[in-house]
Amino acid sequence: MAEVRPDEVSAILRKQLSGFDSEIDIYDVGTVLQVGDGIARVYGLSKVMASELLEFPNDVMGMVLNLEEDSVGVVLFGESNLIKEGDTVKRTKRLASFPVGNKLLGRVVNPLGEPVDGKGSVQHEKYMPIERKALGVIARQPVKEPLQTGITAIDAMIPIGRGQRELIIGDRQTGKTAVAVDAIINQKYTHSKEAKAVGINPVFCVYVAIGQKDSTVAQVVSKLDEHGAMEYTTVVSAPASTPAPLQYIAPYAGATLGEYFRDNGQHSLVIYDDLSKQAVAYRELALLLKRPPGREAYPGDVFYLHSRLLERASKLSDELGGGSLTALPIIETQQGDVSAYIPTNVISITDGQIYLEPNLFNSGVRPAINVGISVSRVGGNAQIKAMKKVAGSLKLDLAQYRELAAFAKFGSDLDKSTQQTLAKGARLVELLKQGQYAPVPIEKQILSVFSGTQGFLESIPVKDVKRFEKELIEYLDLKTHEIFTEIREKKSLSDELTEKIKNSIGDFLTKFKRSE
Amino acid sequence: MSVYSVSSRFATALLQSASEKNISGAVSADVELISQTITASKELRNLLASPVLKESKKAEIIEEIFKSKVSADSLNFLKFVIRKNRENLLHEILKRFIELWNSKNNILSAKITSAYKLEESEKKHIAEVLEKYTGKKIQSVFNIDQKIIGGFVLKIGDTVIDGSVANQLLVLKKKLLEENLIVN
Repeated sequence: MAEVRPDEVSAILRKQLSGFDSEIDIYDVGTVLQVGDGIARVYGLSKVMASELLEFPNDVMGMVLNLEEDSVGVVLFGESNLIKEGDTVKRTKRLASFPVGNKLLGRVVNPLGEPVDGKGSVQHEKYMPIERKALGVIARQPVKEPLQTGITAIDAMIPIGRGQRELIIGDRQTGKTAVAVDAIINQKYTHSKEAKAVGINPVFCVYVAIGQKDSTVAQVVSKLDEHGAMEYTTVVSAPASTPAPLQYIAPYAGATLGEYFRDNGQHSLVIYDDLSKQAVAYRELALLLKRPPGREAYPGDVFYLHSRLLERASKLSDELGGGSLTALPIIETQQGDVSAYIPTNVISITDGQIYLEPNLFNSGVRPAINVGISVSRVGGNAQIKAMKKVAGSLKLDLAQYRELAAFAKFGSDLDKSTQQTLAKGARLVELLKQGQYAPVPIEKQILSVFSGTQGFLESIPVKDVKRFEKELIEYLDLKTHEIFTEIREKKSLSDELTEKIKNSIGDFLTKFKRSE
Repeated sequence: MSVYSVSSRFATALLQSASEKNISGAVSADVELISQTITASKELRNLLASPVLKESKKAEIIEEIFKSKVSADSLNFLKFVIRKNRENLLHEILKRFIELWNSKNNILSAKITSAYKLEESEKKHIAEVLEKYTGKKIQSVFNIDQKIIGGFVLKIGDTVIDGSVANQLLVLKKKLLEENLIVN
């Protein structure tokens, strides 16, 4: 057994204490007047700042939310039964803040930056306040680079750009989290050497879990780990069992970390899963702080709650390094009611939304995206030219299909052109189906969309479409790999290349074995 | 209305009317005395808080207690507060008055806690240093608390100047825990 020599111990102690000066400590204090339900009212603290952190006994921290005439309303980040009336509260003179730095990647932390994954203490570069003012007009530039989610339906029709805010909205069990997790997994490509060679910058991801089950968070983390996505991802977890104040600050903490990457000229993707639960947590706090309730009992500033968060998503100007923060907020609707208070608010704040529908989900269309009402208001610049070219008619074809499909249910005699539209639509819908955790690279997406919109699928039975797509991609990858390379490098389709693709697909079509 | 705003309003009114009559010094001494009496007597506090007693009875008792001790104006104020059914806030009102009076006259009240009884010269020295430091007159209250082990703790308003041994030990403990000191 190793021996511990007393002089060694004292040497270490002396070293540790060398910086310790026994100077007089000056601090401001207050007294707890009332405590309960995660809220404390404190008397004194006359110079305290809004959203300053306070130190209570038993290592409980609190954050100032209300500054009143004679008292201060404080939300507690710990157990309120550890605090008694009459306890002394110390000011920290520090605003609520979150540790940032590259070492946070791969970690699961709570909204205060404390690790919850059991991998030891978190190394951080510095602390940044969780509430920061969003950047102004001068500091920004229009969104111009695409953020590929790896989901064909989204990348083709509802493209998301770096620096955009795109809402993912839908009922429970419609695959909202799946879309977000797929988007994170697909960023793995951006960290590769090939991506660097064609000028695609890496995207760092932050997944903020608010008010979810601990088991769900653990599942997401293990899936990300399995696909090697934790290397560039931080999970900020405020599960349902944590006090409401922590759930309330979680998205701001996530945004702070995203901003760290953005301000360093890098790119980040922050997912807030989900903001309806955060609004509920905030409502709880507001009601306990006796702020007057408004519609659906939410306080008056619940719009500002989300707008100030989502405004922090931005694409920086080139002078500031050109970094970006893309936000994918998630909202859960009840029974498809998008006209409820929180969904309408967040819809109006974001640059577009992805609707997920239970009907589609149950009929096997997964991801269950309703492309008819999903939009992305950033538009063309978020897509590479090649994709823009092939996907142009996709949305229109699908819209026509949906319109006719509703009619076709009643009539039996349909003219030829109607039948054609229906057949094409059914194949396109089939083509856009995609498994979970299986993001598709953009060049492969382009090829499959191309085969669909150019009418190559007409002779393929609907049930064979998925197999056709898979085998086509495999075939092209083997035979004419240069097509993919060219799309990736040039990002556009020249007439020559289009011709080449057409020929290759034509070749494959003759070899494809239709099922009986 | 909150306790704070009600008591502020009464206190401000008292201070203003006393200043107009140029008797604010006398009134403040009275207020000090009444406040101390209330702090000292639990029975008096119970009386003021009791909803059972009639206001006339309360006024009688208050008059009986303070008649010979305070000026007529102060006594009138007490009766006025009782007539307005705010006697339960009387102590708050008096405290607010003292605060207002102190800030008007540039006085700060300081609470000095030490582990052992301080010498008069030490007390004087502390007061002098504080007056220099704050630029205001200091009204100090001294008390003794063995829990702070050594040194002293000074409280002016909400600010604490902590030079106690107990606090230094606490800071030391935190520092040692923070640095993840591992002896292997």
